[in-house]
Amino acid sequence: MIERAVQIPSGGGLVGITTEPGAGRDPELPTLVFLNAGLTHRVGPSRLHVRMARDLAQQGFSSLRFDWSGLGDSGVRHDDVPVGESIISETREAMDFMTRKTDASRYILIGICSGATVSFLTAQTDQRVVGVALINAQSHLHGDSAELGEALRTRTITRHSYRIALRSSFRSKNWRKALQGKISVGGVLQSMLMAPVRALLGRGKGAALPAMDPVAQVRALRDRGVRVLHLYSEGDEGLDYFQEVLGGQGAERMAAIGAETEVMLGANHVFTLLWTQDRLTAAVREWTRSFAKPPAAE
Amino acid sequence: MSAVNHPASAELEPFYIGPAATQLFACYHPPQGEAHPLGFVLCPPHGQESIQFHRSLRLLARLLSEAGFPVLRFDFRGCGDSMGDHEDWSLENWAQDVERALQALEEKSGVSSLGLVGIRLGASVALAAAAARGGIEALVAWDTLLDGGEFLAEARAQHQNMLAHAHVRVDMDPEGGPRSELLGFPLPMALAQDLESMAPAELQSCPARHALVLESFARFPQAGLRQRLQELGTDTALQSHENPHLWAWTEDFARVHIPRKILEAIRHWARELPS
Repeated sequence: MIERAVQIPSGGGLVGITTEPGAGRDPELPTLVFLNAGLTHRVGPSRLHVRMARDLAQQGFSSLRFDWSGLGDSGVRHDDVPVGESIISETREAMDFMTRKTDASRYILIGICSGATVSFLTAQTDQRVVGVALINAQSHLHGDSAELGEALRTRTITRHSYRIALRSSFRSKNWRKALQGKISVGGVLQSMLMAPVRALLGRGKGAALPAMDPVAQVRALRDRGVRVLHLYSEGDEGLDYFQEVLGGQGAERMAAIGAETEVMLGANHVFTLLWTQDRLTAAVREWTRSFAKPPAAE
Repeated sequence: MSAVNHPASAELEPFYIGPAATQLFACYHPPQGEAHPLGFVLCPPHGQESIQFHRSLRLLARLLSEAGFPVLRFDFRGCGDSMGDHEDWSLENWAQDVERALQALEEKSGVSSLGLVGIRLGASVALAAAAARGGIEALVAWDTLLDGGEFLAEARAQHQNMLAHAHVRVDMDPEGGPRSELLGFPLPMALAQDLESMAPAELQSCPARHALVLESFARFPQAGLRQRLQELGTDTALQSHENPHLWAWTEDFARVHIPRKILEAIRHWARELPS
């Protein structure tokens, strides 16, 4: 395995690391691009991106992990391009850079949290993307309606409170903490009860959801041959968003259009425990490995 | 769109130190304006602290380079973008890495004197490396881990707190029993033993001509280190800047503490050093 530090002429000047298998890049395999998780620099939470990049190099995959402008070691932009646009254009320019350097023509985007959302949005506009691994993604399936986004936010928080308190594998632990006075029961109840009350009264934006087709963009990607993996931690709020927009049958609806979904029980948003890091790395390895197989006959 | 952008190469140069199999990731920040003959190597903290502190270290490098000091940041082996993993973690290995980083700074900048800025475990390693090699002009030791056992106890308490409050289940580990881990990173037995026996306040030789000892966490007082450095002949200043949440674990990516006042204090101290 060989790693190199690179500077990508985009935005504020982007800094990244390329990882190549010891035998060199396999032209049959897509190149992976890891996107920033929140404000964490390119190594990822608990250095997960480094670990995954090196693990995937053992499987023959090349990869790039880099920082968007203003994050990690990358420079700051001096123009007025909105960040929502610049992170997508910089992701595409990072792929341009890899294409110039390595002749790569197909890419898999991987991101945790905000990195997942940007992976999904970039795939919509870039034909070179053949796969997206969306880890704890949120706010990506309902389009760009601010009204819908606000309504879903309220519902997601409510659903999350209910699920964690009553249906998750954390419920006994949380109620034990509540009984010991280590968490505020009032705060949880307020979150669980007030949002639906506001909705019933028609005061909150969550009173009624405008029409949407949450699988439309995923279906469009699948029609283009792009493979989509949703991977959620049980403790992550993104799972509640996913279930809220898809009506509780999210995995089934995704499977119906050929997209994959996995939920990792016992894991939190940033995969703090080592066993969850092992599981995540293995899950991504298994999913990417299938890109090496010849495409199945339609 | 990007014609007026991508100026990063002017501010920093990312590169690897050494052969591929053991390379260390580094960022060189060339001096802005008139170059100072003194250059600094920044030694980061460890584990989750290094992830949360990355942005602050980058800012410190920028502040120092804007003041004319050549600066080199790097990742210890098995950390960040450097080669290796937790099996490579040891205080001895990391002290060797400090030496490699100092040599790289000399090669990049041509400085005639060398300085070190160490944070937390990075400060403990920097002190040991500086005392062993000699010849360091200036050293900043920020919340140095003076008692490895105490550090481990504090880190384990934070880990237990995380287990109690985060949405995690240790008992679902398919490998069974609890692993030796701290807040997202392994805790190898060898490193734990290293830390237990670590005692920077018992240094036997002078690590630098001038030192700034910084204390931002009252639970880990640094006065003992200042005293020892003074006994060894180092011109030492002690500054306290209370910031008790600086090293607290957080699951929230957006909660990044930037202790700007402390970073500015380091720059001010470096500027005031006798030439």
